[in-house]
Amino acid sequence: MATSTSSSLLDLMTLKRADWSILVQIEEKIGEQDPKSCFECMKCTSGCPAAEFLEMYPHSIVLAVREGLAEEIINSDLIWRCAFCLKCRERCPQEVAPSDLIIALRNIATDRGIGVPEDLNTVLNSIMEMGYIHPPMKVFSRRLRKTYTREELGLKVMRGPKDMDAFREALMSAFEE
Amino acid sequence: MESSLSYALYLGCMIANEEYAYEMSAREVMRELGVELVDLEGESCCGSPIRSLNTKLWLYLAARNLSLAEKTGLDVLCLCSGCFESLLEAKHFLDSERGLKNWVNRALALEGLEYTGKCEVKHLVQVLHDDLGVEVLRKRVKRELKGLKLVSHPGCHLLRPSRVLRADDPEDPRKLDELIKASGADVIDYPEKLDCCGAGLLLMKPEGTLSFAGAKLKSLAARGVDGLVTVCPACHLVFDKRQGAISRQMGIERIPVIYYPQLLGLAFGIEPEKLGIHLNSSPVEKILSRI
Repeated sequence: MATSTSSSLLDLMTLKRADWSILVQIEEKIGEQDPKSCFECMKCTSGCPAAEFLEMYPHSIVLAVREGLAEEIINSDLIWRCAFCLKCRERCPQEVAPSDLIIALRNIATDRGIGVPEDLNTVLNSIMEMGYIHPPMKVFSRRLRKTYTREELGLKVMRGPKDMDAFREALMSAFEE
Repeated sequence: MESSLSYALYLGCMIANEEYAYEMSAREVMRELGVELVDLEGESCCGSPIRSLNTKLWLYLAARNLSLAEKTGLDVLCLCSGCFESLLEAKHFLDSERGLKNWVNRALALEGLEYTGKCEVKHLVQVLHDDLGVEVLRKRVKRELKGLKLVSHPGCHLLRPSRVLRADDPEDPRKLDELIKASGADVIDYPEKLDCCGAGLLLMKPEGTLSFAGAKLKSLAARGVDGLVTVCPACHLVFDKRQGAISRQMGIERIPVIYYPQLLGLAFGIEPEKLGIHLNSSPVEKILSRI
C-alpha cells in the first residue's frame, strides 16, 4: 500500500517509498518553512495548543516532510487542525516555522483539490464577490432585544473595492503569475 | 485637540461586517484623545483567512490594503490583531524580496495601485501605549474603575511572530495590562494569559475553538475575575458571542468580556451605548453595575 486515500496515521506507517520532489514545491511557497533545519528539540510540540487534536505532533510533521513523507500528510486532515497561534514559529530555535510548513502543505492540498474545508471555499468566493469574507451582518443586542445594522449604530457603510471587476482581475492575475 | 496624531484606519472583514462595537468604541475613545482617523476607502479583506488556500492571494490582498493606506500618507492603525499580523508579515516578505514586490505591483497596476512599502502598520495597543502613552490616557479618566479585578487577553497575533511584529514581549506581554491599569482597574496575571482563543479553527474545526476558549474561560471563572479584556474581534467573538455555548457545554459561570476601548470609554465617562456595550453578549452589566 504505497498510496492510500484514507486519512489516518496508518498511511504513514505503511508507506514504502519516500518522495523528496515535493520538498521543492514546499520551499517555493511564501513563508519561513525549512524542514531541513529542524534538530528535533520539540519546543514546537511542547507549546502546541492543538496537539490534543493531532494524530501527529508538530515536530513529527516537520520530520516526516523532511524524510520525504509529505505526500501522506497532504492527504490527511491533520493539516487543517492548526489554529495558527504561531507559538511554534516564535519558539523554534532554528527559525523553522511548523505553522508555515502547514500553510505550505494546505496550499498544495488546495492546488490538488484535496480536503479543503467547505467554509474556507465559501470565504474565498465571498472575497471574490464583495472583497470581504461575508456581507455586513445585522447584530443582535441581547439586552435591548433589538437588531442593528452598521448605519443604525452610526457607522459608515463599508462597500469594499470600488471597481470589483478590476479587483477580481488583479487578484486572478496575482494568482496566475 | 491635544495630540496631532493621525492614522489610516483599517477595519478588515470582522469589524466592517460584524463586530461593530469595537469600531464604535475605538472611534469614541480616539475622538476623546484627539486622534484623527482617516477611513480607507475601498479596503478589502487582509487576506489572512485564505492564506491557507494560496499564499499569493493572501499577499495580494494584504498589499492592496497597504497601498490604499500609502495613498493617505499615514501609518495604518489596525484594531484587529489578525489583520495586524497579516499586513505586517506580508510587508515583511514584500519588502525583503524584490521579486515579490515587482510581482505584486504588476497585479496592483490593474487596480491602479502601487505598493512601495513606505507606511508602517500599528495595532491599537501600540498607538495607545507607545504613541500616546499611558499618562495621556490617565489624565482623561473621569471615572476611575476602582475595585474591578480584570485580566487581559493580548492574543496570538498581537505578539507572534515577535521578530516581525515587535509589538510587545512575546512571552511576557505587559502593554495591554498597563493600558487597563490606566482606567483605574486592577489587572491580575494568570497562567493561561498567552493561550490562543482558537478562532483560527472556526472555519476548519469549530469544536476545537470551543475547547481552546473553554479551557481559558474555565480557569478565569475559577479565579473569580470581574472581566476579560480583548483587543481583537476574532478573540472577542469567541469569548463573548460563543461564551453561551461554551458555558452550557462545560458548566462554567459566565464572565464579562469587554473590548479595551469600551473599558477605557467607560472610564472617560462616555455613555455605554455609544461604546456599543449593548452589543456584547457576555454579562457586561456586571461591570457596569460596579462603576
